[in-house]
Amino acid sequence: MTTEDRLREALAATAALVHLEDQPQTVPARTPRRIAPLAVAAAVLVILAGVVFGLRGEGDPAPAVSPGVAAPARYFMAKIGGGNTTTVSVRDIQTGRVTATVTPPSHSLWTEVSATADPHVFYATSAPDFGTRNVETSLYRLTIDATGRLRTRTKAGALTRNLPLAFAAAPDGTRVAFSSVTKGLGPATIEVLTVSSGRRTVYRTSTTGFVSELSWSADGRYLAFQLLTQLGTGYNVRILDTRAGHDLIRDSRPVLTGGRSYVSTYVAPVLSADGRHVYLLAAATTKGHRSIRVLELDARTGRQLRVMYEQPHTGKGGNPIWEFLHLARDPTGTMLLVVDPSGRAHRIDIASRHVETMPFPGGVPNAFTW
Amino acid sequence: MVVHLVGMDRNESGVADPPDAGLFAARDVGNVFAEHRLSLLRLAVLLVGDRATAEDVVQDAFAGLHRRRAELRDPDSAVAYARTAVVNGCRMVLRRRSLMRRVGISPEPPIWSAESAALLQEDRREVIEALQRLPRRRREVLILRFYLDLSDAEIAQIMGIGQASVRSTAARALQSLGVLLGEGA
Repeated sequence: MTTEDRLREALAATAALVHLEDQPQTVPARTPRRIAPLAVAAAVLVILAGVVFGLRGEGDPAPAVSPGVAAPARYFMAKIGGGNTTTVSVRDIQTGRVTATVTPPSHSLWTEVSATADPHVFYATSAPDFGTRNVETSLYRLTIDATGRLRTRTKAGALTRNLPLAFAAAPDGTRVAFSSVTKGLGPATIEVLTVSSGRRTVYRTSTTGFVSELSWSADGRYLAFQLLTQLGTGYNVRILDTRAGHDLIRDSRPVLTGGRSYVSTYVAPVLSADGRHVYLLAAATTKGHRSIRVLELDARTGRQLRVMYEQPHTGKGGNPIWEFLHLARDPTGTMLLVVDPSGRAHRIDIASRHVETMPFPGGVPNAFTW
Repeated sequence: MVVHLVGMDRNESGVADPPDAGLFAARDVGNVFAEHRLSLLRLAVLLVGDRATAEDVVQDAFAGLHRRRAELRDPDSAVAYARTAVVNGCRMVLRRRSLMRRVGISPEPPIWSAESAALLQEDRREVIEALQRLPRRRREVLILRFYLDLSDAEIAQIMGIGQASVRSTAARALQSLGVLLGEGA
């Protein structure tokens, strides 16, 4: 036997000592066990959907911000850069003009930004290094004045020492939701931190995975999230009722579920202010032409309701989904914002689908919030 | 390599979203995670020696993959990214361990010399232990070539070196391994 043969055999034998500990218990057991609960859950959801969404306004508290009542915020924030430098800029939603640049704390980078319903209050997270665990990610409260200039940058506490993946401030600004990955493979979790008290509420599921996107309804009760599990079902979009319980699956309901969805190439789900719709970016191919769309889905059924905006895919090859990286909704729930790689931002009026385009100088943002 | 390319069905409003074999869906990050986690975990174990550290490295690699999904163009690039991240993560671990040893802290015993050793035949353990005595770069090339069966081009991409360097490093590494195993040059 040659050295190569011996090596190949030894490597294979050593590697074979390693198995996925959670897979035998999780994967085979899930299918049969889920049938009955799913049937029950489906029946319950039919009832709950009517109560929570169909009859909303009769039993539930009114949203903190009523769609269409207030004007969209004048300024939004965008984070540009990565690696060793990140910049958060304040921009005018009408012109795209940068009105302020917010530098990160010393020896730190901005990692996420999120707006609140108050057009002058934003939250940002900062860490000494991007994408590293075991370093503290801190929470900062940023306020701007009526002309879009930075007024204050105040540390609001420690967020986590895990690696944060998604972040969204509740519209009333009292809480922030975030997901993170912990040491080793663990269950998917969402933590909601009450900023003033430091109290943490954890929503988790036993399934190993990540929560990759978060988006609040205007009343701060419902939280849309995108769940990536190890089970090969891709990204699932679900809506969590934060008042119902602490189980990420049991206390949430699906909008889009992996391969069963007709919208199978999608990113950046955003919950509407009233919680009735989900907006997302989806790739599409029609008669050989590839495009990227902003879709409106019924949050109760996952059914596509409207194409809010469509832009042809101009890149060679690749995935048109990456034409737009992110989608944001203004706090009043009347407008959406997307930015394309050519340096243009598009404001979409949700009611009329009218689109206005403005310049977005300074590079393509990797996060923005309105 | 099996990658699920998920097509689009016709939606209820009649808008056709046919399958497109060129698409790498965001959800395929999940598929990459599901399909390649074990092989990447095993790769990391071979490089760092213990499972707990290997799991951390793989977890970090997938977190990085998720965060950088915007830069990915297709499933192959996602897998290549994940492998590169695992190899780089393992390098960082080994560098840290080197520093720890200098201050007298010993890492976890490797899988082939600890409780699982009994499961490995003596001959195989001898090969693995000899492999661990090779310089880091030579060890990586051999593991990538003889465990993952990667091409020179793929190994070059993961390690950030030229293909010629891959070939010469592999040749020298095999020669050194043979010497350590008493097989002569």
